[in-house]
Amino acid sequence: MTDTMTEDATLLLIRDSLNKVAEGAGDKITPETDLVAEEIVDSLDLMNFLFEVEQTLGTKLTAVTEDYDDYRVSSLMKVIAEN
Amino acid sequence: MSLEAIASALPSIRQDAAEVARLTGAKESFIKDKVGLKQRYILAPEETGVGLAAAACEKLMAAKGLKPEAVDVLIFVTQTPDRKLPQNSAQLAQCLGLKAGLAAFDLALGCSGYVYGLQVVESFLAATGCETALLVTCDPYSRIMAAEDTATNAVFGDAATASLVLRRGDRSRLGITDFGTDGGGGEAIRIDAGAAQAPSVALQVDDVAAHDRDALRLKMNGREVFNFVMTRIPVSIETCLARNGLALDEVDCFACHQGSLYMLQSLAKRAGIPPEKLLINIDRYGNTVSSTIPMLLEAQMANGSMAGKTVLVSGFGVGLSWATSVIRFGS
Repeated sequence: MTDTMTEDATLLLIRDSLNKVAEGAGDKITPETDLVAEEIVDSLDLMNFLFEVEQTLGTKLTAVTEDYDDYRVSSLMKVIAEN
Repeated sequence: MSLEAIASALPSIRQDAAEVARLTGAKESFIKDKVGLKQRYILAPEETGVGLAAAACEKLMAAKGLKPEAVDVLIFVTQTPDRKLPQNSAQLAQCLGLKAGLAAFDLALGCSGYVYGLQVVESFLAATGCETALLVTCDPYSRIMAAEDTATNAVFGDAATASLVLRRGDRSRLGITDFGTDGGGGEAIRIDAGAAQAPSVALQVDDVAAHDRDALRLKMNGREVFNFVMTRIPVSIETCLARNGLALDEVDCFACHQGSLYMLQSLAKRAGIPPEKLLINIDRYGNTVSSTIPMLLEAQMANGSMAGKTVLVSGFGVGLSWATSVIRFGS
């Protein structure tokens, strides 16, 4: 699914997943938004957001390891597209 | 088998969320509102897990008029024993003056340990004809955490519980338990050194050396644990209910392991558990590992609100391991 997702579709996935986790959070973002630095979500919501993305995709985001720390929306879009 | 009574004991150092925030650098509001921890208790330097467990047992035995010689079986659920050897259960038996003919052993499980322990006790009593068991929990994570690690130090607290289980009691009945183990996820909650794989003293092992603090502390990958809980536990709950011929709405309350308030609420939403039926105690004690569930039950049993009720108990965590069962209380 991910290798055919358009940029719009990945951004929508991110928005929807954020809104599931923290109401209104997805509506605040653009591709330039840094989810952690701009405190869009805290660490617990972040785990939940990643879970929601993976549930929708049906696959694990293998690039998002324990040491991963780049939560800019544009980077996450790339991770999803390349997954 | 009947779970008859539960007693708990808390160590002497109390810390509120502000203190935990100071130690970890996390925001106090995050600790209180998302983790759910408003206060917790940890062992003072001179306190021990066995000592705390003894306090819980003595409270229970005094309340039930239980003499030491009447205890046939003692099972101690812990993965943080006071010493590697001898095992906690033997030390506790000594503290309590239990009889020489006692069957006593440790059960090395964490957050799933109490539910596994109930099943082990039931099976042991049935198989041996023994009458009276004490099921004890104490896993003092304060002795394996680093103060500055938010992932662990903002979550866990210490406590001990003792449960009286009778082979022929009539207060409650344990249902059919759903068990699970995923060793592939084991790295999510781990301590890297200090045991046989990375020893400090060993034959035939090169480069044995004192391990640094980081290798000896508890490490937890919150995301992997969250994914595990959200993926496995709703299925375990559904399976357990089916095996016990119960619908979700026939369960009166849910005593799930208190990983964090956020995790509990997320799990409840995913599993369809009504929020008003979800028992909570992480606010008062933190995540006390295998003691979370018995402390939930203790509070309910003490106020008489369990009479005639069915409670679902679900423990999950290190291993990764999980167990879900139901307890039906008589009227």
